[in-house]
Amino acid sequence: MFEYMGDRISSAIKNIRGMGKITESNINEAMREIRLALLEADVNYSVVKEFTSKVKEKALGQNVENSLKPDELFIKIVKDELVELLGREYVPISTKNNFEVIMLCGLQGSGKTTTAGKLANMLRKKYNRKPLLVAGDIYRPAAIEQLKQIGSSLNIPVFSEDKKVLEIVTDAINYAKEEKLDYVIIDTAGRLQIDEVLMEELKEIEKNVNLSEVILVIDAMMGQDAINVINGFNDSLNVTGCILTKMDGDTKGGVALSLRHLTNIPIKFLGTSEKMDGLNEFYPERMAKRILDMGDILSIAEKVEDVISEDDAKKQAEKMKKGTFDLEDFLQTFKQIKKLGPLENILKMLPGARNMGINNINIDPKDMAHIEAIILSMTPYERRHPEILKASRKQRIAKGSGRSVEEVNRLLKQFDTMKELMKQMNSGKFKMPF
Amino acid sequence: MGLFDKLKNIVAKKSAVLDKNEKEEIINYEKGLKKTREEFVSKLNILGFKYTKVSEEYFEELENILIMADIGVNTVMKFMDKLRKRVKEENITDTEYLKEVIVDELLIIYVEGESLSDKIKINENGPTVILMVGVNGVGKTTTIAKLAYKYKSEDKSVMLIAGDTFRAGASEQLKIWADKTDSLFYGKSESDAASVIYDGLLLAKEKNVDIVLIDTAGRLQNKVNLMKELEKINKVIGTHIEGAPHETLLVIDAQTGQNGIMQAKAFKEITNITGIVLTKLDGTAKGGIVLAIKEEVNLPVKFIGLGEKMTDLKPFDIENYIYGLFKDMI
Repeated sequence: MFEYMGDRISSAIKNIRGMGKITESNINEAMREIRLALLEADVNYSVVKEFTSKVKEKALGQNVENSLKPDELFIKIVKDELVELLGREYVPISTKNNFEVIMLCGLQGSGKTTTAGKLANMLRKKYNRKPLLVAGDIYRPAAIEQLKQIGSSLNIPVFSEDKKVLEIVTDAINYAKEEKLDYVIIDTAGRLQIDEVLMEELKEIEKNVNLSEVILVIDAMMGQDAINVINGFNDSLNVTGCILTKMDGDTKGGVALSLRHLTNIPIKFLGTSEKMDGLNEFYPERMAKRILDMGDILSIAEKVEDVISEDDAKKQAEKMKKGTFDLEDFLQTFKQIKKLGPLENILKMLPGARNMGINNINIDPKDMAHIEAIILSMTPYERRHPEILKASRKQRIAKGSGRSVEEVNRLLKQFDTMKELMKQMNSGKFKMPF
Repeated sequence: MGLFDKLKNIVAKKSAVLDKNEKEEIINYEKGLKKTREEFVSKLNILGFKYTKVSEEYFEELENILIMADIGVNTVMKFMDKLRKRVKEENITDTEYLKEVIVDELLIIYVEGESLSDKIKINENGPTVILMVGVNGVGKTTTIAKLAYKYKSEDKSVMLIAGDTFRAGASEQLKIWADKTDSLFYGKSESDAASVIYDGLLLAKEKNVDIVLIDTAGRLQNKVNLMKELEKINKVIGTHIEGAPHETLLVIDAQTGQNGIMQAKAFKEITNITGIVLTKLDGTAKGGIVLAIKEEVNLPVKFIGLGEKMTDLKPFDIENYIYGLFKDMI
């Protein structure tokens, strides 16, 4: 997500590098690139206009500080403005009440049902809540079935009955109270914001039920019309937050930039995979950094914390430091990384990912399986001492794993490069791009 | 005769020789595009009020309007260059006339280059296989239901194959549609998509069904493993029925922004996309992305979705579409 935007901006500011100060003429091209990049990312036209003029104004008004070069200063201004646009603070979902009811709404196909499952999963895992999913989409064929399947895969109860939506919701709330469940998540049918009849249905729920939040679920691939949709829902309902879905696509997700600025509705989460744990908290600062390829180490760290035990991580970090990291450790790390979900999502968050050319890597899960197969075909001794691997051993490993000797060689070479990189990092030679 | 009049004439002539159903088609277009049109045209009209003379400001605001319609930054930039050139060459100063030139040039974007068929290719020697692909949530399954309804009402036998074995409830959803449209159904949840399709097609051949509609799981175009699965599905389809799939339709949500171009490019690389179905045009979105897709990826639109009713899937007609967008102005 957002890669291309960062790409264009960073190539545009190369011109400013080395200049004594920021002048109108040396940022003109950069401003043009930023404008086009934002438009190509589907950022709302009026937001683009305002953003570029603000950046320009701030950049020209600045005295170049001693500590910062003009290009660094310019990037800093762009970043700060991006953070501003994205809403500055992370606004968490409501968890302060003992009993919460939230409603998800949005257009058809925006991902409400999947998101309902992810939210329930997260509320249980992170906040220790006891969620109840409510099947409020009584129109789309098999929508209830879909929610039930999601519920059963997560082992989270799903409430459904053959009644009108408002009745379903009130019955569900009573059911939740009886069953000592404390977080009710209402899935609703997709609807157009201009469909007055269906919008009335949501208004009825809002009027009769004490809702903690009304969450609008939006497809990150949306174009310029996003703002009409958001305003339409927000005019009818008191929308308290948004969830942007399908951010794991190659969309630039410019709607994120327009959203907060034009409506003041905070983005709470991003949907980042089809798996039930693919819901990330939305931090404006981190997002801005990611857009500008400044990396998002914090998000990686959080993700890692979720799936890898601290002890394991410490042990391996120690080994990396000492340079005793071998293929056995690599295999362990590898297995843990697999738990993190698609690796390309993680790589993108690394600072300078673009400069290293790893921002747009598409990793085939099969390749990962091949690497694992190759290492598993080695004896434990070989894994500890990869330097003993010569032709005949390599041939055996290739045969055992069903891969070619070239692939075995490639893996060993990659492992060496990685080790080298770790050494550099530890000796402080590794230079961060920003 | 102004260009608007020409377009109006084309549509009027069409309707003169058309039967009642086809006339209704044009009315449906106008109705379905109502919301889309209102905003778009009122913006252009305001522009006409504001500027009686063509000026740099006029161009800038026009560029804004086109970008807001999701026509695509590249396509808009090229369009603007062309328009500027034409204005200079033909010495156009009147914004009223320029409006006509704009509509004319927008049509040209779509009709230029290779002329592409907007018809569905029918297999004369056996079942016609139509494969539906696209990213998540664009409306593949619903579109299949509408297509099934269309072919059933043309007295054809139809079979639906549930190739989406991934999303919860997808197979059930398709089954309900099969029952509602009185079509045959083949599906087996929790198995490999390619094998379900393989078995389904075997059955379709055996029963000598006229039209086979294959649903597939939504997949984001940058997911390598899912795109590989699609490649496999595509291969499997050809094994039983020669020349199949006869049509591979990429379903795109009219709300989609610039990512639509990437979707079209990526899916075209993996499968032989023969056309686009643009869904959800009954909202406020302009669906301008189809112009960009035609220009950059050269794919025609075959159907558009103008509502939730079974009859709301319409064959795409560029003249009707552009006329539908600009009707109030003409």
